[in-house]
Amino acid sequence: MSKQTEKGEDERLIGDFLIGNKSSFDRLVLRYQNRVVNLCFRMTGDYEEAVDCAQEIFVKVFRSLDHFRFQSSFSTWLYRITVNTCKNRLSSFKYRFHRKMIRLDEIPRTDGDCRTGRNSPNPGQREIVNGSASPADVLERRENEALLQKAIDSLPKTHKAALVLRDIEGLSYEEIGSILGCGLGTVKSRIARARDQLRHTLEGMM
Amino acid sequence: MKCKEAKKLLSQYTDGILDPVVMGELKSHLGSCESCSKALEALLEMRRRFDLLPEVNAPDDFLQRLHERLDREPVVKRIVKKLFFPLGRKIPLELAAAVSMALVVILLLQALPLSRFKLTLPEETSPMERLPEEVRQAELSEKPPENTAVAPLRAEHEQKIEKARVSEKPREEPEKIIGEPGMSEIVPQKAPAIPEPESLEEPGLKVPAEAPHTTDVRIFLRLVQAEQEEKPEATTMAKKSISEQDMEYGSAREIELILALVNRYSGSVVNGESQDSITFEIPMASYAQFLEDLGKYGQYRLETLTGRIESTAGIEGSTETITVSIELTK
Repeated sequence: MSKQTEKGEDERLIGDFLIGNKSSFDRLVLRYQNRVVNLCFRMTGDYEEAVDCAQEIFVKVFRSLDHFRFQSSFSTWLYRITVNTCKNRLSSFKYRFHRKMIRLDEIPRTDGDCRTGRNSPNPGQREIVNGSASPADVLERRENEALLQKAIDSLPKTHKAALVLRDIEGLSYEEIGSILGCGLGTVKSRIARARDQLRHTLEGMM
Repeated sequence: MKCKEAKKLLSQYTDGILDPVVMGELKSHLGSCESCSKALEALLEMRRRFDLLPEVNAPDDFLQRLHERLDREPVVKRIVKKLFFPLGRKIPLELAAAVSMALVVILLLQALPLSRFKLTLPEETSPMERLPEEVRQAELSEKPPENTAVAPLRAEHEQKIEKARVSEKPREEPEKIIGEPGMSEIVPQKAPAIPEPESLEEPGLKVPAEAPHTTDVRIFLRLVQAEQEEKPEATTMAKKSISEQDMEYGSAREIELILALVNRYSGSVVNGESQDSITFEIPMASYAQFLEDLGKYGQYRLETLTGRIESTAGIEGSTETITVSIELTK
């Protein structure tokens, strides 16, 4: 689905919601929930925190959708709310305290090879689905993922947001600029600094 | 192109957004600079790692949990609105803090007894506090009050008492305290009656209403040899419970009887039990009855009377005492 078609579909669903069709909001949530949760997870580094944060974001969207002026695309508006909410979470004392605790029972759920959480048959246990990769390969890949996420977590909030939006969400520099509310030069600078810092961090970890 | 400049452009180079001219210069620099080539390789390796990162999806019950949260949210929001937006506007934090401080101050002021601070004012308490100490010194030295430095102060105090008595409602008690008709009598010379606590009220001196319950009368009884007064003995002597003939003046027997009388009225001896004088305190409530009973032992003449308040009236926990020194001469 092209971006233009996607934008038109979003506007139609929002219009339906504003005239009283509550199920249109559900469809909007289903369209964006994975993207929002993924972005939240990369920003916070904690799955449960990311899901809770995503819930809060959609509640905000539900409450303020009637103020949406269609000046930008819905996805940009939603990403802006997401980034700001995640930044607030990262600044909150509760989150910082929570991050000091070591979680032993939860492993982030990802598509492909690993499931965990309340939806899996055995919560807290790994369930290898893809049998093509050997356990050693899976383990190595997961270690690399964990290292990369740890390196992302170590970035400053503003740099982290720019990097995640660019390198994980794949947004353009212009979109990132409108989401973060800054100019193109600033976006370039932030992404460059974030990548440079991340590269040095990863070299140190390796 | 220098390495420093080239490394700044590597990020944009991997995104392919560099100007073609700048990109050409960078490419030529990368061909000749091993350090920048390694940096580019590391950056591309990192980008490949990002591409391998799996997408984290929302849980299956995400929408259901969201609906539950949306249903619960209005209640929470309503409570928050009531607490922080009571007038439909957000109350500034400074205003809330000021109101809280004012409430705390009011509560503290209500909890503290302010009457305590009133009575410690010097102009209110100093005249009345000086007198008791000096009169007590006079009593301890057993000198006649007239011959001490206390006399002017006592005279001043007596004037105050007299003024208070004039201002109060005239009492119905007779000037003479008489036990029974024809019996021995106690005739006060100057101020026979102990003023009621209310009559001692002066500006700056507050006596609580319950003062009579805790007020004592201190009596200085001097047993001195005096001439027997002529009086009809035929009837009075018969009615006395104790005969005057048995009561040798200043004898141990007389002192013993007087002390027993003091004890009966819950009094207490203050100053010695010498042969010629006793000082003791009697509760104010039973003072009149005490004098009446004392009259049964003999005829005493009240020579001097001084009254004072020696207490910090109004302060919680203290006992108010009105001490009156009476010198009686038989």
